[in-house]
Amino acid sequence: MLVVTTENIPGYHIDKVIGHTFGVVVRSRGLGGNITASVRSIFGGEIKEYTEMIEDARKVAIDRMIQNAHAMGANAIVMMRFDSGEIGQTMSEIVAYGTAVVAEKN
Amino acid sequence: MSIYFALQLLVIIIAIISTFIYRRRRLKQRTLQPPAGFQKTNEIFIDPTTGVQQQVWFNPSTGERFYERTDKNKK
Repeated sequence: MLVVTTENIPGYHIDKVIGHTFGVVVRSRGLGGNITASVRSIFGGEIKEYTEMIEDARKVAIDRMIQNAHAMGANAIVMMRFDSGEIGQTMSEIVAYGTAVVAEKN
Repeated sequence: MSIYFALQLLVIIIAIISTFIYRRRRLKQRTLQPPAGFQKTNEIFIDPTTGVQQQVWFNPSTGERFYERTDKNKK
């Protein structure tokens, strides 16, 4: 499945636009991770516990978006974007979304 | 009061130790081969938490993705 952030795919033409597709996930770091992250934030630098949480969330969001596009019969996603939000103080929401299309090689 | 404080401390210590173990396991994950039916994609990224390069595989019949560790150089 080809996933691009551009509107068009060079070398391909969009045969059919199926519709929007998305993948959403909300993750929390957990008590131990939040405590160690709080201690780390006192000294500054990268908060690895949260980088880990966001990286996992990104992967899951993309996986879900692609599975949804696949279920819709698409073979590519164009205009893919990420969005993020915060729920409470320790939960993070990541959404990956784009337009599911059927693309064919020129 | 002291029992309550000790219990709180115990919960925090267990949480920190379990987080430490979880992170160590993540760093020492084995390299798994992609299952049958998966196709190699052009998507490659370096996991920012481990520094390990990952190759993405895709299963066109199910829409699933698989992350293969291709670089053993860890942070």
